[in-house]
Amino acid sequence: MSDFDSQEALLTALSETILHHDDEKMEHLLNAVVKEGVSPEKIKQKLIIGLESAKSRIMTNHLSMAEFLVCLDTAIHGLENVALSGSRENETQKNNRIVIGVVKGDPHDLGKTIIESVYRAYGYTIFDMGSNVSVEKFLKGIEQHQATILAISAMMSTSTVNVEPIIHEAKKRFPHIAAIVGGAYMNEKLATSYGADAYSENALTVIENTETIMNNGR
Amino acid sequence: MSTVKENLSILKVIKPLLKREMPPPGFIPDSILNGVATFSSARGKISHLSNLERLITTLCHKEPDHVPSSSFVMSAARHLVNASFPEFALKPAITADILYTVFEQIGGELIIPLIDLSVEAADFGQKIIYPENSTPFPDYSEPLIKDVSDYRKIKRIDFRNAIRMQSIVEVCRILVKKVGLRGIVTGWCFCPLEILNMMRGAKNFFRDCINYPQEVKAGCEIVTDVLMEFVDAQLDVGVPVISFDTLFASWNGVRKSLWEELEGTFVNDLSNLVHKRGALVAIHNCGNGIYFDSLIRFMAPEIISYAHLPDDCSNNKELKNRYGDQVVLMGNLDTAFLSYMTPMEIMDECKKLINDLADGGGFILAPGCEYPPNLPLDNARAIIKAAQLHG
Ligand code: B12
Repeated sequence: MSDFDSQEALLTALSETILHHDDEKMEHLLNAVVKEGVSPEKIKQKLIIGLESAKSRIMTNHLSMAEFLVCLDTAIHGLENVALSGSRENETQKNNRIVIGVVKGDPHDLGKTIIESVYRAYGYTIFDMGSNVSVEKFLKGIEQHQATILAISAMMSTSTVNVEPIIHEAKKRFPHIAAIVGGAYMNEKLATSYGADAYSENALTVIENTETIMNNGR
Repeated sequence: MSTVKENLSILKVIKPLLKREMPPPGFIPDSILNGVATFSSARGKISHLSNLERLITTLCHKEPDHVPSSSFVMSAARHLVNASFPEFALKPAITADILYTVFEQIGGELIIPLIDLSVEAADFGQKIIYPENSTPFPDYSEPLIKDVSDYRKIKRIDFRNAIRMQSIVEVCRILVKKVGLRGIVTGWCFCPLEILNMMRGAKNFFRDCINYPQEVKAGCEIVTDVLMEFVDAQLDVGVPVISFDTLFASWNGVRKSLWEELEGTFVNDLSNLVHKRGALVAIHNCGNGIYFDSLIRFMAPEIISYAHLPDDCSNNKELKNRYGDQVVLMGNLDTAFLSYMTPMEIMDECKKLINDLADGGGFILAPGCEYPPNLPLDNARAIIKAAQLHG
């Protein structure tokens, strides 16, 4: 802690490593805070604050897409390390497994990548099906990974309609599944009409929306 | 010496005119261009201008009879000639036929051959998927650039064998001939970062830009070398404008200083080539928070086609005030609107844009990006009609 006046300053520096996507410094500071005896819960909270700060910057154009992706990498790296050091996940995260993908006919996978990384950073277990994913591939994914949440991305006006058959078939075969959808042309109304349990506008809201549907038992 | 040069320039203007094609505007003496624009602007107050007069007036930042427009319709019009997506992408005669039919049946003064985003990547050897019901895209399960060390190994291909780029040149050649002096056909070229992105996959490419900028720049250098020939070939067939897609110079790409470092010198070379040959530089960028200031500094464009506001403006009026006398603004109807609004609503949206941007000339009404490939064309017609009625 020699470089820092207080434990709080050390923790703030730790959370700032996310914004500067500085993996090396993150590891160094993580070691320092663990040595200090800070609880894994507190460390995780600080890392999440760093991630939130990156998220809000992307919304106000202070951060480019490229930088946000590497910030996410750093956040995930840090959270994984904390998980190894024994942090407890909350109930929602522990009990849910997510399958995520971009609908057929759509190669835009950046929105999905961000959502996937945010879920991962928040401790969810997530399985990525990639982009241009057919209904059959989604179904196979749910079965194979025993998923409880289906997250679907559609980034074009023309590919958004492909969301409906996926939800329809998935709910028929796996009645327990909760579907959350998003993408540039998606909105609350469309999502409901496609049979989704939740719509989330962006990375800023997705965790809250997911927890709401899971806590309400949908 | 200078008279020899001037005579040569005049020849470069007269030759295309004799073929009834648009000459390179850069070789037309400013006094003549401005004279035509001033006269057209005055005449436009009492009578209709020709498409070309309207464009020249606009490009000289003077008010024409009404704003010129482009529907930016590409493969969405394939059914007009019963063609498929792969035919639109791969058969230059069919592509040209579709774009010409759009020009004739839908209207607009500017024709922009944004065929799809994988043209250049395909020629460098990236495997591309050509779906029956959608635009082509790279097979991201088999990226050409698998590893950061691969940027330096990209093959500097022989342009003569670059089938897809050659087909764009052919599309330009056919359109320049067919359209003649009734409109302006622009060329089209993706900038190197976007081409590398198609050959690497977005996620990894973004990381490489930040972590291995030197490798990415090495890739840019090889790609740009070939693009110079591509641009030259399009200019050879007579397009008076080249449109460059510069997506990475926006919030959807990398931060401003990194963009300047990675792509700045390469886009500078490309635009210098265009200007040297008397043609105009148009920039297209459908990203959010575009870096207008950097793009102007590195490329000195005459036109910028945009979908979203630049990073330093909070509305179109501010944009017009800040950049309106430096570049012709083209845009920026939200393509999302095209999917769900009625033609009447689209015309209202266009009217708002015209109110904000058309004052004093220097504005071309258009969607912010390509007209969505699977939509009916009613809203495309509404854009052109709005330009004629409200512009
Ligand atoms: C980058 C980009 C590309 C890249 C994609 C790279 C990649 N691997 O993703 C490339 C260059 C490859 C590309 C290709 C094409 N593109 Co494109 N592209 C864009 C662009 C500029 C940005 C899209 C993007 O990545 N945004 C970034 C993400 C992060 O955006 P976001 O919406 O904010 O994401 C958030 C939310 O949507 C939400 N979210 C997203 N998914 C999910 C999922 C869940 C579960 C949840 C909860 C939330 C959620 O959370 C995200 C994070 O906050 C847009 C224009 C624009 N400015 O938006 C056009 C755009 C999407 N493209 C468009 C088009 C037409 C194409 C092409 C067809 C062009 C062509 N003719 O070839 C091709 C695709 C080929 C094909 N066959 O489909 C059109 C789509 C029009 C339409 N019909 O809707 C757009 C809108 C441009 C336009 N014309 O106006 N494109």
